[in-house]
Amino acid sequence: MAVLFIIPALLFVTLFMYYPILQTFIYSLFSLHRTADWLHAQFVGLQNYIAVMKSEAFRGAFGFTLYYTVMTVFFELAIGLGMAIATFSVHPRLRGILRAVLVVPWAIPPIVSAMLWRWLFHADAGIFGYLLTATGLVSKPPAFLTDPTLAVHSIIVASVWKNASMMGILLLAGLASIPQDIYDAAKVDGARTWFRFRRVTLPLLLPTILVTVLFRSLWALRMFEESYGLTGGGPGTTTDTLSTFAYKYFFTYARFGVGSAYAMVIFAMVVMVAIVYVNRVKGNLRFKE
Amino acid sequence: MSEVYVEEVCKQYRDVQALDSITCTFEDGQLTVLVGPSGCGKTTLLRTIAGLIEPSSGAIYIGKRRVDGIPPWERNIAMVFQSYALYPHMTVFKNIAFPLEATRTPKDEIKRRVVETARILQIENLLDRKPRELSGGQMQRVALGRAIVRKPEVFLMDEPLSNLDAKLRVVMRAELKHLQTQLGVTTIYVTHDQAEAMTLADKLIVMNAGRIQQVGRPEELYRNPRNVFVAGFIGSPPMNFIEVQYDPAERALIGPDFQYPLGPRWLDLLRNRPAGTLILGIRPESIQVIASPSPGMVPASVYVMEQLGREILLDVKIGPQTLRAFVPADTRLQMGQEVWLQFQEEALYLFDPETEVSLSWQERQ
Amino acid sequence: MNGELSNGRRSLKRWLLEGLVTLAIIGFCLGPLYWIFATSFKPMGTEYVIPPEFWPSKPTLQAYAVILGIQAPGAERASQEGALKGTTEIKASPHLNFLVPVRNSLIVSTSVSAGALLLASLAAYAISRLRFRWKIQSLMVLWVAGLLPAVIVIAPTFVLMRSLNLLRTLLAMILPNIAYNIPLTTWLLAVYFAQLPWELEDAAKMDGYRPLQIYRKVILPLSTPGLFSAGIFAFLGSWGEFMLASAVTMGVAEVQTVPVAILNLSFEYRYQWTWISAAICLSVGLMVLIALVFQRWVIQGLTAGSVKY
Repeated sequence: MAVLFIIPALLFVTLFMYYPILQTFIYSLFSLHRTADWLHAQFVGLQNYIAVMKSEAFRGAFGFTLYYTVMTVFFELAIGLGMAIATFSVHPRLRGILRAVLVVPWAIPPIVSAMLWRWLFHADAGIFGYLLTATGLVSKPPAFLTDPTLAVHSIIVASVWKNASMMGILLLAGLASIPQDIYDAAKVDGARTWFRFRRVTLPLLLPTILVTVLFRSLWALRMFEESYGLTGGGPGTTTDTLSTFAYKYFFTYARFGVGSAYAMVIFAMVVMVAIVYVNRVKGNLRFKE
Repeated sequence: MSEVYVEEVCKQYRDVQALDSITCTFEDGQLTVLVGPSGCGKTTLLRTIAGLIEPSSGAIYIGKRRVDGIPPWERNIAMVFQSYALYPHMTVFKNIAFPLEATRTPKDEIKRRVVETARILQIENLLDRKPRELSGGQMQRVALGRAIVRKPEVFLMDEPLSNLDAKLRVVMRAELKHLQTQLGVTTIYVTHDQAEAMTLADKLIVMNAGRIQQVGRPEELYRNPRNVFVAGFIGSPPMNFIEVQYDPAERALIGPDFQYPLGPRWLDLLRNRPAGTLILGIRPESIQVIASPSPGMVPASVYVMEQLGREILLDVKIGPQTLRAFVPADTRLQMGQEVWLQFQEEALYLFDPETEVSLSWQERQ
Repeated sequence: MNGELSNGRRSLKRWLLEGLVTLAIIGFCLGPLYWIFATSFKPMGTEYVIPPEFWPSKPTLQAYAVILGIQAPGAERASQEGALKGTTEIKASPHLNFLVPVRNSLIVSTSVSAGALLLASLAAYAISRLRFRWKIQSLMVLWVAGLLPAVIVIAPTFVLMRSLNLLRTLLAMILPNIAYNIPLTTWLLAVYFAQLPWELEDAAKMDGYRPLQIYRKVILPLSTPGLFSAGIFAFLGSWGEFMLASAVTMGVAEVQTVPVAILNLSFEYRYQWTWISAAICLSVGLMVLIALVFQRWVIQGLTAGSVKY
């Protein structure tokens, strides 16, 4: 009886999430073009995977995806933690303002954020280039989005901006969930600010930090919009991620088999992080039996 | 060991005067209890002394040192919290060692002092446990251990026993008192429980609405409350109050349904007072309940009886007013039965209805 | 690390420090947005002037007029050139109309919110209030779906929409997006429902109500704030969805949603940053406003959906 309530939701999720995953896996074993129907599809086993793994492009995308994930999550954590601590420590009136401000970058759709940063990083009239030349750090505006190394890091900067404040919000919630009495006890116990932070706040915040990092990694590994919107994967394929390749194979080259192989690689990576994440938090998923 | 002196401390929140010019002394080595109903400002005062709250104005001294404006970690105090506030990620050993580590004590001395503290509190076998593996009473001991290990100038205790069950609370109360006497550290203890306050205190400070109502030894406050608030707060069950008219011509107090003739002592005290309303106070334990009438007694009817075992707590009605009194446990009474109450004159209190101050306070001191 | 309760005597130094830190964070979070905002008011062409103006000396709504279709793109330049050449021939391009993608996005996001709320509230009611076998398993199935990347389902979903003849329709975005938003919505609602008093339900049961009636007459009316905050997440989530929207609209302007339209605008008019900025401001403004107004719920939902299960 009660199951009837949950079946519609399960049905929807199965139809649009779980079943397509299975399909994607099957696609990945075929030489399959979008325009070609299944009559012309050819079973190729793991050929798509082998071809993908062997390609220079895949290794580049795989490397960039990993590098991007590590870098963004690290800097998002550092800046997010800083903002969380600052927000937590300032006067309540300022705290209210900051909390509101932190929500703003999160509320912006990723592709729009990418567009926004494309303007800030504009080679001729971008504000960053101007600021760098105006302060005399460089003689002419750097090619933020067309130099391979700079493009990689420009994408990372844009992502950090978009997501650090969200990290901040999550860590702020973690800070606020530590009982005030514990902070007070540490103060009265004679602990100075840094000692309190290192010995009380940080260890108590560590579980939140871990979960936040795992959660963000889940999303960073599938990064798509930032590259697609900022550089379109360029210059060359230096800022292509596994996701942008998958997407391009699907909808630009119409090669569903290869695209699906890329998608399955992303799936495998996300699943690995998801297992750790799920194990970490599932203990808290509790409802009255 | 030092005395704590608070001078004209005020704390103003946006529209609430949490502390209204508090001046008081916490004597060296004594246990002083701050007591009052919730929201009376007692915890605010304690936290102000701790440095967790900065006063809006006024000064605070610990020993000879003025400490307001100095952060809590430089005040050399220790505090026990109602929630115990143990560090959940540290073992008992680490919890107790924390104040010493924070003040850069050498490692071997830390070890020695933690073990010694654990021995005093009989928690040596718990040193490797984490707080979540402890019972309420054990957590309480660890919190105490963390407070005493650093040999602070002052102990601050914020309702430290109120999270314990009733039985354990009585045991810990006695232990706490013993420990405090043994260590002889100036202790400021906050509670809303007047019974706890009475049993523990060398000196009591009764607070209400951000102000000190009365300061004194427990028995002093019980015997000679300064005003209606203290009279009603100290003692359990609380003092009964009846509004009466003072009639100088009749030399008596006129109640709703009775007339109470005053003796020479009260007439003397009231000699300059015109006729008018007074508040009469009498403690339940000072009322005698008699089954048959005699002159000067107040007629009443039995309303509710609560058998307490040792005695019966009686609610009686005088007109619309309810009074509480004790009768021996084997007394046979019925609901609605008429009884007579005798108020012992020396146990009587009269309060000015305007100022609520006791008329006999000066005289009794 | 202070978390101070006190707000008594704060030193000037502390106020100054806190003010600076606050300003720095505001600058970090809002600075990039400000720049787009300022650009959107610049007269066409002046956005490229070096040194850039931090606020346009001659602010204009021209860019907005162009993207809203009030003024034809290129009309101004054409008239300028026309004046130079002494001719009156105006070579006007077709009008842009950014209100179309805004309308599409509103339809998609509203439908997705409604659909996700309906399905999720039923599921959440069962999870939080009813007994049945496989409850934890069902919850896990729903929850884990929310962690999976869209890229692994996009191709089969595209094929499905093609076979249903739904490509180039809004429905092709609405249906999958409902599924994408069910996990978080279910979770937020389940947490909300679980904290409603059980006595209400017991009382309703005594009065002879069946579960569906309890859900409709007791749980839903009491959960307006919960439904509202869960709805905001579904709304914002589907508003920003790009990958699927870009695939199924296949470049047809009439069905494009805001994210797709903005990217296309930047492909078609890659040198018209005032227009792109205006489009970004129009589309982001609404989202930022929603997020700011419902800030408390957004923050609660964010933490409930990621770290604070």
